[in-house]
Amino acid sequence: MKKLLLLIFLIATVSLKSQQKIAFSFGETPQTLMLNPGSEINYKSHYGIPIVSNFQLTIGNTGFQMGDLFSNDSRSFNEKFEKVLDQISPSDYINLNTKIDVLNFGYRYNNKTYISIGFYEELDLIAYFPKDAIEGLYYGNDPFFNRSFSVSQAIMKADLIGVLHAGISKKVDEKLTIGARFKIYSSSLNIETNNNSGSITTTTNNINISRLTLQNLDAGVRTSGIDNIEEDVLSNTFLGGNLGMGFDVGITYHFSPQRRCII
Amino acid sequence: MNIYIKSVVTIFSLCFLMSCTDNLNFDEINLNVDPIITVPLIYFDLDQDDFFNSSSGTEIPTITDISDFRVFESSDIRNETIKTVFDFEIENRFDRSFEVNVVFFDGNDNITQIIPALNIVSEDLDYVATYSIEIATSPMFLSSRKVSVEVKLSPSSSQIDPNIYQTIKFRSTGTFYFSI
Repeated sequence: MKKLLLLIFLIATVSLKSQQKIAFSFGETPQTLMLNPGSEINYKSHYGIPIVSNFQLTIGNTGFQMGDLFSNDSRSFNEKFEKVLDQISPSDYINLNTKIDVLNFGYRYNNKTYISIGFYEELDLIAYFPKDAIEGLYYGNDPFFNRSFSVSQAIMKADLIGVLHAGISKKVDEKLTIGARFKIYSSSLNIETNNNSGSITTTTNNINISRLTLQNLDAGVRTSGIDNIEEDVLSNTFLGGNLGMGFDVGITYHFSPQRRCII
Repeated sequence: MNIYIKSVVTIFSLCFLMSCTDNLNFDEINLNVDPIITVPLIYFDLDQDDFFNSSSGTEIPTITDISDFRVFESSDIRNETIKTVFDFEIENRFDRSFEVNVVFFDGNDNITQIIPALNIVSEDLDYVATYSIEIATSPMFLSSRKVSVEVKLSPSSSQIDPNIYQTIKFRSTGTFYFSI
């Protein structure tokens, strides 16, 4: 529980972004083919080093800054944590997206055709801060008699998928390049909780010294793929049981040497 | 014109290309999570009829009730609990004294914890008692699965009159201190 609390706050204090989005229209990098399969490719072949060739990570939060939690001052970590906990609101959230290329290679079939094949894994997570739940775990209910702890603040969605893809980029003429990419998605892990409702309140009354009231509690977590999480979670990303399909198309058209349109 | 462009570039650079930094310290990340959870425990109201056997016309000197005590069924809670405090509040409107004994048992009915007897004098309307159990010195308490409450009517020369309304109210709560 302690590690979970720390993990939530540690990942939420980092804000990093890769160059993935600006790789669009960068013909010099093979990753541009993932954004536009109709990109103009000039090289004969490419081979990606597993994991290293493309590692994309985006983590952010809207609740506080790193300095709030890790400032180099005389306050204890607990003091900083409590101040951060006080200032966040249930509308703040953490967002994590990571994409790792496991396999990526391509070769030029002929002067006009370039073929690329690969496999990558992608993790998406968004979680709103369930402030009441975190405060309940951290402080307990004893300091909060007569306060209602809401369950509806618990909103979270996480997906881990593997994508096997193959694409072709064809130069039709000097002006036009078209391309397409076929993808097979393998969902390995899904955790989701939303639309929760109800509250937990500790009160005093005439019946007993304390009384726990669970009011209209309706909460649930939908999961898949966590039964054998340590053994199966990664293997299921490669053509596991839960498959999907995707298709990307792209066009690059030169109106003039200086002007081009990318779709 | 050049001066104008330079000014714009300078202002743009100052606004968008500069930022403040501050030293961060990642070496002292030590979060102590010590929640305190309060839960209601046993409560009951007994009146003169509960202590009087109308068919035999005699007093019932002892009433005992055993309840499940499931707090420590979870290994997570057993591992993280460091202290438990029980609070008792008793309102005795009888003109008789009582002794209340609270005893905890494990799943095999072995005693795991005995709370010292609560002695309530007659017509004490504000009896309050607190008992603290440190897990470090009483680890057996973590195997508690049942709790027994025994209410003993102290002997007296006068017998309970079933026609005179009298009550004893018992309230209790448990406060659990965790170190996660």
